Amino acid sequence: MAPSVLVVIQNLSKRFGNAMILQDISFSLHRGDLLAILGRSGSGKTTLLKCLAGLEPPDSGQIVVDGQDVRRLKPQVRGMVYLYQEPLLFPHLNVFENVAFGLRLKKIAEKEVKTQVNALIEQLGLADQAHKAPHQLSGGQKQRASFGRALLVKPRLLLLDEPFASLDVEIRAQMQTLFLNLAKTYHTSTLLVTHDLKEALIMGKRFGLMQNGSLKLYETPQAFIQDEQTGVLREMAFWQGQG
Amino acid sequence: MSQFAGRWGAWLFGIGAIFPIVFSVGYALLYSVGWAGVLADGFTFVHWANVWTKNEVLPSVLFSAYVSTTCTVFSWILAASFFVHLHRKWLQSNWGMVWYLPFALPAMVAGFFTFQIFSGGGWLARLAYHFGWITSPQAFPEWVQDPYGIGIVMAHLLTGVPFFLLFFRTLWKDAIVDAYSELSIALGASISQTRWRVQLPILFQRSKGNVLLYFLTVFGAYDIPLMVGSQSPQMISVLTLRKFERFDLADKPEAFIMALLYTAILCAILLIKNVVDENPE
Amino acid sequence: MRILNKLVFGGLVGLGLLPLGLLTVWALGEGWHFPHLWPKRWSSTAFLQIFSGKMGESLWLSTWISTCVAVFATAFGYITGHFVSHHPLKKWLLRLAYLPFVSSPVILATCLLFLFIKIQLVGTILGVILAQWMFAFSFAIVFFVPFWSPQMKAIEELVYTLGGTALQAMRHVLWPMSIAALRMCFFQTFLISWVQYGITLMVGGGEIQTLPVLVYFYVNEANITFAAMASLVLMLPAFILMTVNRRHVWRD
Repeated sequence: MAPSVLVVIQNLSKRFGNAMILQDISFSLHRGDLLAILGRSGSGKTTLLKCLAGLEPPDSGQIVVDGQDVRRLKPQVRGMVYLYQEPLLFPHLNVFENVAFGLRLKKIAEKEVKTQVNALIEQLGLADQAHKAPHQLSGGQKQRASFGRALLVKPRLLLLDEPFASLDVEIRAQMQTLFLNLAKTYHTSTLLVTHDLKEALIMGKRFGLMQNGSLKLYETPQAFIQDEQTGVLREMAFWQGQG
Repeated sequence: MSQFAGRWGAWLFGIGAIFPIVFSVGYALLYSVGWAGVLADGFTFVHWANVWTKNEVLPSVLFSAYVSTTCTVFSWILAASFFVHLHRKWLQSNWGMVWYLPFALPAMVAGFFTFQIFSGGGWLARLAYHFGWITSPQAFPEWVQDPYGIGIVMAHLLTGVPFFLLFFRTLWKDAIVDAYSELSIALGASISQTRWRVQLPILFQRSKGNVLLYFLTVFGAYDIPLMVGSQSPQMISVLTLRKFERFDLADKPEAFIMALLYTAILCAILLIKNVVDENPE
Repeated sequence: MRILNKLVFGGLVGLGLLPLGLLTVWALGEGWHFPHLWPKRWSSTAFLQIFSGKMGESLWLSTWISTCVAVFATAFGYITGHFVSHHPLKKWLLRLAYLPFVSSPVILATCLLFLFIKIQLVGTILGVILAQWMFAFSFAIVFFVPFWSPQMKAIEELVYTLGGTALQAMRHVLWPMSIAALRMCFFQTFLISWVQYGITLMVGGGEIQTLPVLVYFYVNEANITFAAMASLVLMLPAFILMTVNRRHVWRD
């Protein structure tokens, strides 16, 4: 059975002054999907995510989630968590409380909070760090806690804006694998935007390319790879030349 | 917070920050051309003309500029020399924190202290008497309430030097001056070359904005020149208030003209500060 | 060279302590006439009157006025700083906010006195609080603009996307993250108000005798003992802040 459609975006446009940031963006996303959108900085990727999360109002277009137009809904009730490159752990809370933050907002019973948070912290490999302050963690640990905090509120859609950009190569690779496992476990639907070609290829199930506010979607991974504009072929040619 | 601040912040900004300035400049302008105040007899430039003929306002502006420049230059040079030579001690020793004390001197107290030290009956004069250099307070050099503003400069140095010392203390760490100095020495520079070619230029480059702010603080100062300044020339704030409070009503418009001149100079220096902040090189 | 450096540093430390030391000597001495280097006799008269008489009244009045100024300047500066920080014309608004802060209080008060007379606030405590508040508020705006950084905005937005309401974002995240900055701004605006002389004299019409006004009064009376004691009291809040809260209050 094909997975059901979660999000449908139609003709989404956004302008800042004279600059057209988003131009008639349309796409849909299925439950459990991971759509990776590749784009250079300034291509409109972040604005797209902020419009979906309700942090920026689009000028026109529709955002339908589970059959409901969410354009007029506040960010709090859209069920979309927006994470960007900085982990933004709350400095006054320890790791446990950071991860538990979403559950605390919902006033979940203490016992339930402990059970859920401890299980997730264990999965994130942060069991020894639970009572540490954010400034005592490494970059990768902070990002793991940040993912944990987002996943625990069970968002309908996770919006990732260059989430691994501030990490070094080795940690980034570990985090990508960890995230894929977590997304699978929690059945999370994800929209990832990145400027990193390799990251898009590793993480994505479906692919898109954002250029000057326009989005081009690809039916298959092969189509993404074959398109000259994505730069995959150039990259492959370079590495083959090295060999 | 965003919605709340957007709504109330705009009102507060308008009432608390914009209105006082707009009202002040507008009222001063109207007063200066005879459209407001007790002498509001209709539009006239006579008060503006009087200001230039009386030979009181321009000397005051120039005197204020001279005092502020002297205070700023001396404070910076003294603080930079002390800091560059003794930065390890300033950074490591808790005794360096002692300089927070004079920095915390209110202007009124700095003025009082300076008077008690440097006046004819002051502490230095008494020392001079005991050394046999003078025989009466009148014989002591005029260092406060003097025409050259020595007392005003001394009093401002009392807080100005600590201000820059403490600023350099933060700056030294933020600008990783130690790392640049080590690099300079590794490249073959002597300690003296490192001071002149690396440390002092970095301190200067990074403190330009604060130098201008300090200049403005002294330029508009009131408490210190009131206490240790002379009757003539007077600094701009003191003369403005004196003109405003005089019994001769013809002096009041001149007080407002001085206020306008002061505001124009203030804006010009703030614009320079913006240029400096945006182009630190 | 090392010994010379130590001597110079020691000398500078001594120089730093000199104002406090001499003010204490003058405050506790009597009969300090030319050419005596030290007072003839020691007396605790001025010290015993810190909390009573004229000095006591001024002390409580100054404390009351400065607390009000600091509370309102900090609270309103916190909100207005947020407004300025996220405004598209942030740069220009910040420049405007700078103006009262760096202006000469006396000159600005000269131009505003007409307004204070019209609204009948001259010679009143409320008038002095309002006049001092303008400067402290301007400082508080400039202080809070960098605090409301893009990162703070991102944190606020993160709370919303995690399901938090505006009230929850304020209570659980923004407020706890703001406490240190609020405390620092409160102390600094308190000090701005505490040492104000010219504006208090003008708007207070000579009737509102805060500590700086009292210091000038004693100096004019040539009452060195009381002027020095009032000066020490005037320096007290800054000393308390330095010793108790040095790292937090003075870091920026």
